[in-house]
Amino acid sequence: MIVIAVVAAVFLAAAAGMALVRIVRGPSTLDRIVATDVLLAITVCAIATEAAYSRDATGLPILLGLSLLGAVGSIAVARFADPAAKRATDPAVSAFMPATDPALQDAPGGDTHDRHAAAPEPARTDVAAPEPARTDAAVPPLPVPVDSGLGDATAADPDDSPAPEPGATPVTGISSEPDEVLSAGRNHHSANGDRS
Amino acid sequence: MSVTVTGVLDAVSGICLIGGALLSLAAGVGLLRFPDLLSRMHAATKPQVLGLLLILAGTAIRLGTVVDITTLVLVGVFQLVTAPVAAHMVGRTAYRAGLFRRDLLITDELAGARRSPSGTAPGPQE
Repeated sequence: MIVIAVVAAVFLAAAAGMALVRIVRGPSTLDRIVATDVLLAITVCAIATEAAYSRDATGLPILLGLSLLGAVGSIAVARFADPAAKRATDPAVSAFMPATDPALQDAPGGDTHDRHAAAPEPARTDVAAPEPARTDAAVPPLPVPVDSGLGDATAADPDDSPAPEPGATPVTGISSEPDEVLSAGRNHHSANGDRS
Repeated sequence: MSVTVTGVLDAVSGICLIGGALLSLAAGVGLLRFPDLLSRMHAATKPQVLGLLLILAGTAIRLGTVVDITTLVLVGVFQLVTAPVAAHMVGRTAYRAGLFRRDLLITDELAGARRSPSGTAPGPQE
């Protein structure tokens, strides 16, 4: 059993080291988030391996807490690093939101509601009761697919909106440095079919 | 040397532990070597689901009491519930921000959906 424990510990340590290298190198915040998730999973694996090696169940409640709360950080950071979410809270763009998304317009500081809800719950419609009249006066109805899973993404797509940022560039909040992945993706923008 | 039940169980547990550690190592190599965020997310799911379940199975075989196995099953269930949520949020943000290499994609099924408000291309979702 000692051989198995040593081999597993070496593998896990090497994996944790490589995840740490990816956290340091980036290049974007989302890369670091993914690497942090992997590092957390490796930590859970290491604590479970230690429990298996020593036949000692002391560390198992730690695993329970880690597996429950481990995803909260990455969900929060990914949610608030979303460029579409930033545009949604912008009052200049909120007039172009569809009328079926009242949660985008009432929440002042970035909502955490489910914006894809096709049927809004009654409490939310009570809050947003005077809202459809204002949107009808402001903008003509947009042909927005409400039922698709990407409904708010298409609505918040700035191709036909007067948002100052064009579509592919609101990454200034995402990447902390000019990265090579983004520039490579832009340069090969027209070479789509070379792998098919 | 006689083969005992405990020895067989320890061997199975050891195989599970080594397998889970190997999947974690593969995820580390994938995080370093893969070219963009979406493929790194592909590599990141290995220790989050299969590797963790293998190691938890090995630990459960090795510990063997009902209370510990219940705790380990709960850990696995919680990880299976929360990992796809986090991956969904990260992937959605990555696609919207353009943090992926378009030349590595074989097909982009969301390209039509993104362009559909201006009416240029009906996507595959319509």
